[in-house]
Amino acid sequence: MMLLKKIEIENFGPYYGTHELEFNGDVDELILVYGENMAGKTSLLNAVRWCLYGEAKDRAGGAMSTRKLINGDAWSEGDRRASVTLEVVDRGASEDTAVRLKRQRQAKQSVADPDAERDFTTHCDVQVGGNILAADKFDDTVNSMLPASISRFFLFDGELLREYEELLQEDSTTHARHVKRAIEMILGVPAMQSGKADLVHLLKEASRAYNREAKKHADIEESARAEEKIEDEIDHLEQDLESLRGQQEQALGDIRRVKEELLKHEHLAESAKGLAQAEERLASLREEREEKRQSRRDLGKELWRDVLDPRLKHETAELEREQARVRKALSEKHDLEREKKSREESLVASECSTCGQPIPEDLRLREQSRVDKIVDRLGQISELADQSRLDQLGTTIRRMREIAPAGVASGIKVLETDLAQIDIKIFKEDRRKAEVEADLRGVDKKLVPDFEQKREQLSKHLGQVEMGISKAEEALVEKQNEIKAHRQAMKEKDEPTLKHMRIARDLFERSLAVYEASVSDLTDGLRVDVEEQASQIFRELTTDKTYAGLRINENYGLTILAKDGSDVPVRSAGAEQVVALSLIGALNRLAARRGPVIMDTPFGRLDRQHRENILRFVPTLADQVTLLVHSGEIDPERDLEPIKGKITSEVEILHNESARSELVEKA
Amino acid sequence: MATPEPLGPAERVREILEENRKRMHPDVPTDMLAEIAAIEEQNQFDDDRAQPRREIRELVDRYARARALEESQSK
Repeated sequence: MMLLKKIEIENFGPYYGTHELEFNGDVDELILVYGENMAGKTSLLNAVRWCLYGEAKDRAGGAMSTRKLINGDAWSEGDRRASVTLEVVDRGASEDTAVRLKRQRQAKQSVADPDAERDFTTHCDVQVGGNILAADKFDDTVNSMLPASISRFFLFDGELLREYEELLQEDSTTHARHVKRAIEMILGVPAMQSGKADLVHLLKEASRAYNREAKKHADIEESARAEEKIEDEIDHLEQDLESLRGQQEQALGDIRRVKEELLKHEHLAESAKGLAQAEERLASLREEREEKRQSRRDLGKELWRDVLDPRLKHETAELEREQARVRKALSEKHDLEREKKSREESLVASECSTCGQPIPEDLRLREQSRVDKIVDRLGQISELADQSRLDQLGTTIRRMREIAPAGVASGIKVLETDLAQIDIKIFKEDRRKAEVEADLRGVDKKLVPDFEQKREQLSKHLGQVEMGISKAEEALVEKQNEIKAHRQAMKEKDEPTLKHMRIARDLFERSLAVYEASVSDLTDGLRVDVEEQASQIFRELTTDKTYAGLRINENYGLTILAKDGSDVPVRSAGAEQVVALSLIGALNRLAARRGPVIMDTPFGRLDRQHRENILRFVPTLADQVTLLVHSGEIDPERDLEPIKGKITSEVEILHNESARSELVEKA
Repeated sequence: MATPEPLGPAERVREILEENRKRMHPDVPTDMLAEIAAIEEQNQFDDDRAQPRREIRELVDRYARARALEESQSK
């Protein structure tokens, strides 16, 4: 276990001259370093990383050039070097060893304007237990305490949290596989994987040595030679298999990339379809608009009728009244003429046609008077009771009705409303079309067919490769069985040297079989452990008590589980950060190496309650924890109450007016 | 209930190896396998495998010699 004792920084980043940060070098140490943005918190983390591994990261996660690392003021004064010294304790099972590591990088004297990496030289000093070691032991010493491959779990910043959040969201990318490998490193899986690889190598070596020795004995020489030959064949088969597996990996990667491209293009294909539909809808809407406009024009020609409407109505009514009068006069005329005829016939006869009695004179005179009155009345209405006038009136009224307006104005109003709605629809459709066109701008129309063809070719190639792998594996099993038969034949030879070599070979073989079976047992067991530990930490950290824990997948991605065991699909940025911290906490608990944790700005997106929970948890994360925080993240007066007794020291990074930073211990 | 403290990676590796040894090849010495695991644990982050291989080779050789001697004496 590695613990920090002292960090000494010289001309590194904003730190001009020499600055020191001292630690107790013991377990249960919690150091808080306060500094505002740009004051030098990340530079402090970078200084440790750079001293150990020779690499400092810029804000985008890329490697920082030496020119940028060296303090600007020192550079201007001609002091073109930066150094970081770490004093650490390597705590073993039985004793502690003091280790001092110093890395210095400086510009070459011969270069007038040093800028590129080749313009600088590096000096590394390493002391272990007070003994100065050769510079080439620097990396070995670091590697034995805190290897670079797992350092991301100890020296971490917001970038690491983001990497994990990506892993939690998308676990099939190259990046996710890279993170998975890093996780397996910290969990100690390489101890098993490299053990297996070493035993494969040693078994081959032992087997060949045995056969070389066996060839010296005439009675088993033939079997030894045969076995040697089979081993050569096995070597070739293994080489073929390795090459085929490489091709398989390559093909799978290529297919994955093509699928990703197709997925991207699927969206574009959707857009193209959307564009065609939008164009179709637009054409139909424009056609409809034209038809409505034509109807409006047609109705417009009839608008004069609306102007004549009151006059027409008046005239028609007059004519209708006259028509009624004429019709009435004609009817009266008809009735009078019939009555006149009947009465005149009575006057001509001398007796009543009904009773046969002679008609009295006074009655005859009354009848004559009535006939006279009828003749007078007929004279009065003769002008009005004109059938031809009635016919003329009927024709005129019909014609006037024909030219009367049939709601021309209201019809035009309806059309105007329809046209306004069509214009809105066309506007919206035009906008949709423009959006889709923007999506499709610069897209090659042959892209999808090309990718589909490529996917088909790759799948075919993959099928052939997998068939080759299957055949090679079968052939290997066959050859290994042949070897067993030869070994059986040679087993009876009990010559001491051979016997010892045979036992050694068999021990390698059996140990390898045990290792082969153990690799998957280890990774399966570790996933269970990570899930348990991460769930436990997560329950401590989360403020949402409806969450029951986390579930892990093949790539160590974690899903939040609700109390009923169902997945919680959507989570906030804060929850993502808590899940990522839970995973990092679990990995540190299960790590193959223990070391100091330095966390840069870890509370960025957390609310107060989560921040408090995480502050309570942080001291348990590692034996020695250094938190680099700014005032926006932690208010020392308010937020530190839960961990007050656990803070061992507090340091402030002061950034003075001349843009130089210094480390000052808080009273 | 608190989750029990997990085994350290080295202990876990040894435990798994021992279980599989018992199941598959009980004749392989427990100590030898544990020593191989310790060498691998110590060198797991090294790309250069020469040193651990040398150590394992010597270790297995030692066990093989002892067993050969044992077998000869038992005859």
